Formats: sequence, structure tokens, C-alpha cells
Amino acid sequence: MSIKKNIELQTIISGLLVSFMTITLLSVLLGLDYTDKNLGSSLIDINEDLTRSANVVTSVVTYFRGLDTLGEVTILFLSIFGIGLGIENSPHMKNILSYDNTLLKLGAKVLFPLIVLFGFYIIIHGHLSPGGGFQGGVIVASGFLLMLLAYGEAFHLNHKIITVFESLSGAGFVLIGILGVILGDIFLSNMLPLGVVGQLFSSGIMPIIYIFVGLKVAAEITVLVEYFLRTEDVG
Amino acid sequence: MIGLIVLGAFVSLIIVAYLVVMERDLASSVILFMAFGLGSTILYFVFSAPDVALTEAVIGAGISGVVFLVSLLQTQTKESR
Amino acid sequence: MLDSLNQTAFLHNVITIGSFIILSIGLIGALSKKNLFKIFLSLSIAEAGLFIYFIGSHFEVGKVAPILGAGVEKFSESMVDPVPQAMILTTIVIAIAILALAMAFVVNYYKLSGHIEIDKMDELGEQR
Repeated sequence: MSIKKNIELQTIISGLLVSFMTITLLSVLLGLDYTDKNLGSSLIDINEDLTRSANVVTSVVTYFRGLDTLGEVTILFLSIFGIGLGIENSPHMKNILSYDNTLLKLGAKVLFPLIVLFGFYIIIHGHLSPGGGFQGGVIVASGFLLMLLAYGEAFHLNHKIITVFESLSGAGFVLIGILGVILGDIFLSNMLPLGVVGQLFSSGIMPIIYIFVGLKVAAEITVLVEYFLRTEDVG
Repeated sequence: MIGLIVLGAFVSLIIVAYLVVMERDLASSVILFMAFGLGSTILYFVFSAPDVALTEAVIGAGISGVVFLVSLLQTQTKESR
Repeated sequence: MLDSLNQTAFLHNVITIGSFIILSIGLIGALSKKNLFKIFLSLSIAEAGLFIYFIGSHFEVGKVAPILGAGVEKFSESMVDPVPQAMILTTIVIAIAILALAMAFVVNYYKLSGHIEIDKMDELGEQR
């Protein structure tokens, strides 16, 4: 009897506490106003002089917060590394979602180059239109996912090439940053000629950084998907 | 017009989120989660964030569903009571 | 009636309360469910609610995306804040990698122990 009374008291107290915190948090959040002049509007003001890119989101990711992007790419690499340690994977593993379907194979064969081309288009035009390294890399990886689903064991990823791409793009990002220290003044400074807004060869180092980020994200998400799909023992 | 779109998207997102959490069959739960990703893509596009919408369209409705489904196939598919 | 729906202040209230409800649904699921799989699904829902709040709180009616294109010739005050978009953009990609890491641990735990219920976990010597 006393235990039951105890639990009821606990429930009432925690319920009151949660509702009090909810009301406090909601009243604070509803009172906030982000629409004044803030960091974003000043970044939009200086964007055209500093970067000459048509997409301010790309400028923020690759130039104004370039060092943070390097850290985020490192987190991505570390978590894929952890998955590689955690999931046992060998070339003799079978794809667990594969089944034989000629129509699916034919369609995947037609669609795969188009998807990869679209992904690289998104990566390269990151400073001109919506898109960039993260989005395009994921789109390229989804093309590889389609091939892995359609073909099963018949589709082999060359892990050596993927490793080379991934490590070279990671090293290239850091190399661009160090070149910025040598030729410019700070890490990841824009030392290339800026060009004209709206042209493909413009805005300095930003397309190069996004190409490196895109290659790295594509390689990592592809490896992630392959680790998850190819986990059943053949025999 | 934009107010109606945002209201409708939020109502459907809340319903789908409730269904994801309460559904007993884990495979249906994953499919509902992919529908949730699609709904939030629409919301991001309405909020004039096309970059985020593009990312969420591929990740929320594609790759996260595959990751969940494949790890589900290797474990149990029903939530025990 | 319909005009008052399109005001920025009203939309901000809708966004705040709606994403708060989504976040709460996710957190309640993560705290009350017993299945490891369902816990990570609920955490993803909570995460998505947070992302929607970040993007939506900096949105204003009539402002365009911070990208030059057709109809938008120059950078001006009528563009939405690009900083939260850039943050959430990278966070979504990181979130899927962290989620996949968690799923790898769940699959390995299932292969070792044969269940994914947190009620049945007794590897550290808990009394049930």
C-alpha cells in the first residue's frame, strides 16, 4: 500500500514538473524573435564582395564556416570507421536484399549513369544553384545503392579505388587550407581569382572544396550502404 | 496559401510521427518514417531552404529507410509486448 | 481570415508549437519504448523536429531563398537567413552516419544475445 502511494506521488510530482517546464520553454520560445538584423543578413551583405558566389548557403558552408565543415567531414569519417569495425564484412558475404529480376537489372543499368551524372552536376554547380557537396555526394551514393539492390553479388565495388578517392579528397581539403595559409593570410583563405558572379569558374576555392567534400561524402555513404547490405554468409 | 500549406504539413507530420512511435510492426514503422522524411522535405521547401530540402529528400526518404530496413531484416521484425 | 494565416508571427507560433510536439513525441517514444530499434527511430523523429524548428524559426513570409537565380538578381534584405540552413544541411548528413553507427551496434548486439529488448539486458549483472 505504501509503495503504491509512493509511486502515485512520484507520478504527480514528475507530471507537474514536466508540464511546468513545457509551459516555461514554450513561453520563452514563442517570445523569441529571430527576424531582426542578425548574422545572416550581414553575411548576405558582404557575400558578393568576399566570395562572388550566387549561393550564400554554399559560402557559409565552405568559406565562412570552412573549418567547421572540415570537423563535420571528420565526424562522418569516424562514424563510418566505427561501422567498419562493428560490422563483420568480407568479400564472401552475400547481399541480403538481392533477387533476380531482368527488368530491374536493365532499368538500373540505364538509370545508374544518369543518377551519377546528376549527382556530379549538383556537386559542381554548388556555388551557382541549390546543391553542393553534401547533397550531390548523397545522390551519387543513392545511385550505387540502386545498383547494389538490383544486381546483388554481381556488382562489385572496388574498395581500393573508393579508399583512394576518400583519402585523397580528405587530404585535398586540408591541403587547400594550408595553401590558404601560405599564399593568403588565414587557413582556408580565398587565394584564387574570384571571377564573375554566376559563372562556373568563379568564387575561388569554394567549388574545389565542395568537389572534395562531395567525393568524400559519396565514398563514405556508398561504403556505409554496402556494409549494411552485404552481411549474410554465402555458406 | 502558405499558411494553409504549413498548417496542413504540420498536422500530417504530427500524425505520422505519432503512428511511427506507436506502430507495433517495425517494418510499417520504418515505411511511415520514410513518409515523415518526405513531409519534412515539403516543409523545408516551403521555408525557402532548397539546399536542405534536397538533402532531406535523398537521406530522409531513401538512405535512412534502407539502413533501418536492412538492420531490421537481420533482427526481429515485431515489437514484443 | 485567410490573410491572418499568412502572417509571419502566426506562422512562427505554428512552427514553434508544431515542432515542439514532434520533438515531444520523439522523446516520449525514446523514453517509454523497450525495443532498441524503436528507440532509435523515435530519436530520429525528435531530431527532425529540432531541424524543422531551426529552419522554420528564421523563415519570413515573402522572403526568398539566399540564392541568385530567375527573378532574383541581387543580394538584398529580402533573403532568409543562410546560417541555420548551412548548419542543418551538414547536421542531416552527420545524423544519418551516427544513426548507421547505432544500427550497427544494435545488429551486433542482436547477433551476440538474440534479443533487442532493453528489459532483457543483463550483461552487467543487473537483478531482474
